[in-house]
Amino acid sequence: MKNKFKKLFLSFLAATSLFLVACGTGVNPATSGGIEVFPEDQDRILRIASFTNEALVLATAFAGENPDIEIDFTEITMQGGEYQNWLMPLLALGGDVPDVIFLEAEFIRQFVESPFLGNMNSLLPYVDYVDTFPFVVEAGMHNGEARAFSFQATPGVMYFRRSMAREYFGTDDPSFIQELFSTPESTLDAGRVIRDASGGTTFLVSSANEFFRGFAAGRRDPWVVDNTLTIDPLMMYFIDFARILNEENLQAQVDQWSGEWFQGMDDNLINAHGQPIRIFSYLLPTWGLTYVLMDNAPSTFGDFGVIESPLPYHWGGTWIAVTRDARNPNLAREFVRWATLNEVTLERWATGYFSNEFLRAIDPSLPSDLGRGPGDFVSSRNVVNRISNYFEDTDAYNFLGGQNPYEIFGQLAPNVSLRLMQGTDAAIGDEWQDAVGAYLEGQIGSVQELLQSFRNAVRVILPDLNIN
Amino acid sequence: MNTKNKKLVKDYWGYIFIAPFIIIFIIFALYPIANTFFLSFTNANIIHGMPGNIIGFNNFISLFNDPMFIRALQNTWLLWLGNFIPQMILALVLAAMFSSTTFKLKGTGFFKAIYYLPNLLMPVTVAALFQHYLTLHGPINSFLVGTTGLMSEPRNFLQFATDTRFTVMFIQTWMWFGQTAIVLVSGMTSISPSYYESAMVDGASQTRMFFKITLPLLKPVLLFVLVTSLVGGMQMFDIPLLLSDGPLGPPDMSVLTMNMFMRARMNHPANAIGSAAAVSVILFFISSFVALILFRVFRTDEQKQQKKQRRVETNG
Repeated sequence: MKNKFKKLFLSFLAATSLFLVACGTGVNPATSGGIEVFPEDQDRILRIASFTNEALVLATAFAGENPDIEIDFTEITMQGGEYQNWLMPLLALGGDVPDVIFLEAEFIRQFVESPFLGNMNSLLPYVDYVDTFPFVVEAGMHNGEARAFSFQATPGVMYFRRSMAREYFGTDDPSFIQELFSTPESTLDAGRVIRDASGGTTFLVSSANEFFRGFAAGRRDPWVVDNTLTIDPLMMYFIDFARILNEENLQAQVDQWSGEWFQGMDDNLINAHGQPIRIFSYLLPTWGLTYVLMDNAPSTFGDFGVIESPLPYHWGGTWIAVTRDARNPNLAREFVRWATLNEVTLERWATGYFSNEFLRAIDPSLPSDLGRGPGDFVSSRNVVNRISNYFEDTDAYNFLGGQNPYEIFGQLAPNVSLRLMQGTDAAIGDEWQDAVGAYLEGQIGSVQELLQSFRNAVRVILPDLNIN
Repeated sequence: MNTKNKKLVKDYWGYIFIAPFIIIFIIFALYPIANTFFLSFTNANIIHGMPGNIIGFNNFISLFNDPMFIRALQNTWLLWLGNFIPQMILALVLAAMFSSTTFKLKGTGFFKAIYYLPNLLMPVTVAALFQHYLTLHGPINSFLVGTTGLMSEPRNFLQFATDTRFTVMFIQTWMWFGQTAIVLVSGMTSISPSYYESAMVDGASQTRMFFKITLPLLKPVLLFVLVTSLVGGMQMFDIPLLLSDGPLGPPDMSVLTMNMFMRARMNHPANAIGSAAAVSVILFFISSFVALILFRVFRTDEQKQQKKQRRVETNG
């Protein structure tokens, strides 16, 4: 009896594993041989997965223009990598695969370099037509295949406080302030002036990590070269820079995205001694203005100005891709074209046309906080040039004390290069920042130990990488 | 012949009744476990190849040669012992007071509920709360530096290994002592009061009764608490991950547990399912082995008692 049961059980196991193996080996014609083929769509349901409800704004507007389609939207937070860790196995092992997926800059390369995205080379002519910033297209390319496009471009800038600039530098003229923050060294000097003039109650930045992206963007080599972990000299310089910021009390020791970081924007940060402390500048990209500063700093409205970062950088951005196993590849591709390579859509996106009223007129069941205000910086140079004047006298313009954010973004966007962008950037960069943070606080005693701790960490997250 | 037939029919219905459980168990528990064992011997990788090639014990060998995995193993034990011991002491004291017939505390139900409350909170909330408390400009620093002057300078607690470890242990203790106390109370109240009555007649003190009556008779419940806590502790994940706010438990991997290590291997950028499965298998064997030892320790005691009793009976 026992034996019989054992046999039954084993054959059951064998059967299930065979079944699962059989499911995993289906070959999809859409990408075989790198040639784009167009299989037929199965239905008119557009299945979209994303990490924010931005995607739902676009999808609803798309459905508004195409009343015969239905939207099936899945939103999963990307906090702690939840979205990526849900999506990658789903694409790899099969299941209810979405047609369209939204990808963030932090993990776009991981997906673009995987075999799970569909080829969209047929959309490349539209890139010239709307004049998309080259780096935006570059980020979604792999082996000559266009696999993702974006509606945004997200160069990084430095937002500073005008009242503090007047107090410590005598003027809040952005061109004058820009001179002070032209190099990392001059930035430290300006930070010292702020510290001395304020008696140590005003800090240049919240933390050294605000500058990390700038240093990372200026490197000669990316983190991984020929499957070997590479630490660029500029990363070593970042350690020195961070150490100076820390030792000389130029940073407030406030982590990005912490409650105190937001309090700092709004000028209500108090230290452990009960004294108010202030933060002079925030290094954020285009979306930092509309999504972060304007939302969280009501009491400092109009007191911000914007200049170029002493170290140019790029941060974030959302790309849209079609999955290899999409059930409706044509509809999905049409959605990507409509959302990212279409001047009408991009202009509407940037100028706040997709308001809550607009979206609820299409689908009354949508929540009352879904909608898109004006101000996001879009990927098409044609649109940027055309609507730049639109932003004069908008909220974003007044928030910046009468500075047009579109102008400075437009100047910076053509210079962004994503040459160093790799799928492992976020994971390795976070470990670097953690190691530097522990070193600054004295948990790690020396730079040698810092490097050892960093290499150990990378060995955990990338076991197949050569690490000397 | 007739009787044999009847027997068969009975068996058949029995199988039908247990079938739903067996089927669900096989699909959702047995198959995944068996598959994890299989994957642990392969170099399966989500992006580069599923189900991968069989590479023998290579995953296990490289794990045991990896100082970071050894650190994760040590951290896991340290964090578990560091929360289980105080939690157990606290829970035993509370349970003894709650169930004591001489103290006759009022409102025990209320306190039981209060002590149980932390367990109802989401780990995300708890971690965010403590993270906020412990920042450089946060309430604990302003209390220690500003209000009371106990410290001259604020301390960035979560940037130090010891502080972070201590916080994890504290949170785990705080979240679980109420739950453990309630289980122990139910164990204690099931002990027949006649033992205590006769002990009191003989003039035994509270402490003596606790060590000589309560603890020995509580052994089955203690075993349950110990084993469930062990299994949970070996899989400790959410609080260390969320509190330290990094996949590898910074600063310097001080709160990196085996489960976090496993997930770091499984998730991007490693995507190394084979290696992650090997960590799970090691975790499985450690938990089973230690649980088995615990069962042995507790069972032999019972058997000894039974043997003694039998001897007394036969002699008497």
